[in-house]
Amino acid sequence: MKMDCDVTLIPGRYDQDELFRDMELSGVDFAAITAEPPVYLNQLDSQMKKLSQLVHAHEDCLTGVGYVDPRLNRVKEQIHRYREDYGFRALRMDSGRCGVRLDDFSLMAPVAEAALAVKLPLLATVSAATFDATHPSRLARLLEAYPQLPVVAVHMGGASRPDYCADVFEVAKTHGNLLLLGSAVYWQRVTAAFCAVGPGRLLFGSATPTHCLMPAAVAAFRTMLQAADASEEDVHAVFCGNAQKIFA
Amino acid sequence: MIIDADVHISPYPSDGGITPETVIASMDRAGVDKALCWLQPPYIRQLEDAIRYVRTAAMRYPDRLLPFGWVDPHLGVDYCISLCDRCLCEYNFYGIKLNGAQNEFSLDNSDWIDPIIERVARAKKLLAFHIGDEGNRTHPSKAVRIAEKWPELNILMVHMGGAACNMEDACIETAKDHPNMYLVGSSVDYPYVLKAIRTVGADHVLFGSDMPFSPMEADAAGYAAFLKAYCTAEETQQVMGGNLARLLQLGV
Repeated sequence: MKMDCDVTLIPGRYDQDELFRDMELSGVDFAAITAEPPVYLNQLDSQMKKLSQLVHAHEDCLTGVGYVDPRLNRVKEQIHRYREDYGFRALRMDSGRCGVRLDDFSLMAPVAEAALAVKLPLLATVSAATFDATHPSRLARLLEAYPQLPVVAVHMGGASRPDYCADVFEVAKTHGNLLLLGSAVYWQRVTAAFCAVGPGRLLFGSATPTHCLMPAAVAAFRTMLQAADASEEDVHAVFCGNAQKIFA
Repeated sequence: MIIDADVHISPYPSDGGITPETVIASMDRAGVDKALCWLQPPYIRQLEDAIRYVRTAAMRYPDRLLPFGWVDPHLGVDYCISLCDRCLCEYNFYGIKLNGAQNEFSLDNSDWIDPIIERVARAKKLLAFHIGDEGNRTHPSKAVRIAEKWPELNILMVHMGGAACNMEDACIETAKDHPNMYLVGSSVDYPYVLKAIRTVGADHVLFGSDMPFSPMEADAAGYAAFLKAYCTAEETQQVMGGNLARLLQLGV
């Protein structure tokens, strides 16, 4: 079984039919999906509601990830709604969009506290493309402030050149609440992440449709795990087992 | 036949360079038959040793490595022309690469680069540009002047505006209007490679890994997977090696 932990539906560009086609072509059984936030953020809730309806209609193969913008009023209410009304299993935050620094606790504290209250992990973009806002030093401060909050580093410091993946791996070594989602990275970083944190804290994601194509990501990711001498058990953990735990 | 259109080798391990033996081992693991090899820009900037290293490697693995030259106009135009002549005529390399990003010059600088390009065109060899730069030095629009001035000269647009620079759409648009431009999809997000195939045509898109900056095994597997999913067998054959074999007149 394979689960893709980084898929974004984009209105007018990538819809559910294309997603299901890609999953079939890639041998992906399950996808954690979010939707690209609207330009006008007052439409965010209605968009997330539509996402939840899609997920509910396909619970056998989809799980929902609610987009969070710490700058919005009532973000705590929104997070509770994501969990209780929409049934989402994780929160997605992208500093590339909202510009919020990971250690800006005036904005991050409500998000982290609400996430802890509803027991949802936070999937946060950690990318050299958002160089300062998601820098590993800021990530470390967030992890230290909320050691009970599972944080998934989406792109694990990549998605740009040069990247800072190696620094993210160092943070991961000393912060057990950090997991790594290896989407939109140079492929050798998958091997490096596996060697740095082991099979138990690395997740597969394709960054479809923005950075990669799902069939290519599956093939390349598997190749790099094999390069790290991962066992079949390890490969299963990375492609599925770890995601099942984090999205439980 | 699978040909990787973008591989760097270097005699300088301290620069992070890799040896031809490392490349051959990766090719064997990845199922890649041949690789277009050029140097990795040395920290010390002098190119002679690195070019000779490429030549020696190709002589050692003549069935696997396809040698390609490289010049840096900062070293002097006259010197570059003599280096071009040596690469193209004496060493029989397949072409010359100009990297305005790493070597810090603009493709606009006609005084510097036109005499070099004239040499490549006259020898009926290939020209390669690194297209992808944080500045504006290698924007695809700057290659237009050259593609139009030498319409018979085939140009490899390496990275096709990627390498984390977000000029992919511009590169695809430019190549669509210039049939002598060929897009090498190395260090670029795969969705753009697929877009290039759909927009410019599979006969103008080439598989490349940019090894050692990206692992050949993963890119070969990734390309194979997405081409199988979204393209025909003929398109796959073209992208994975057929186009480059044709451009290099490999006769396979």
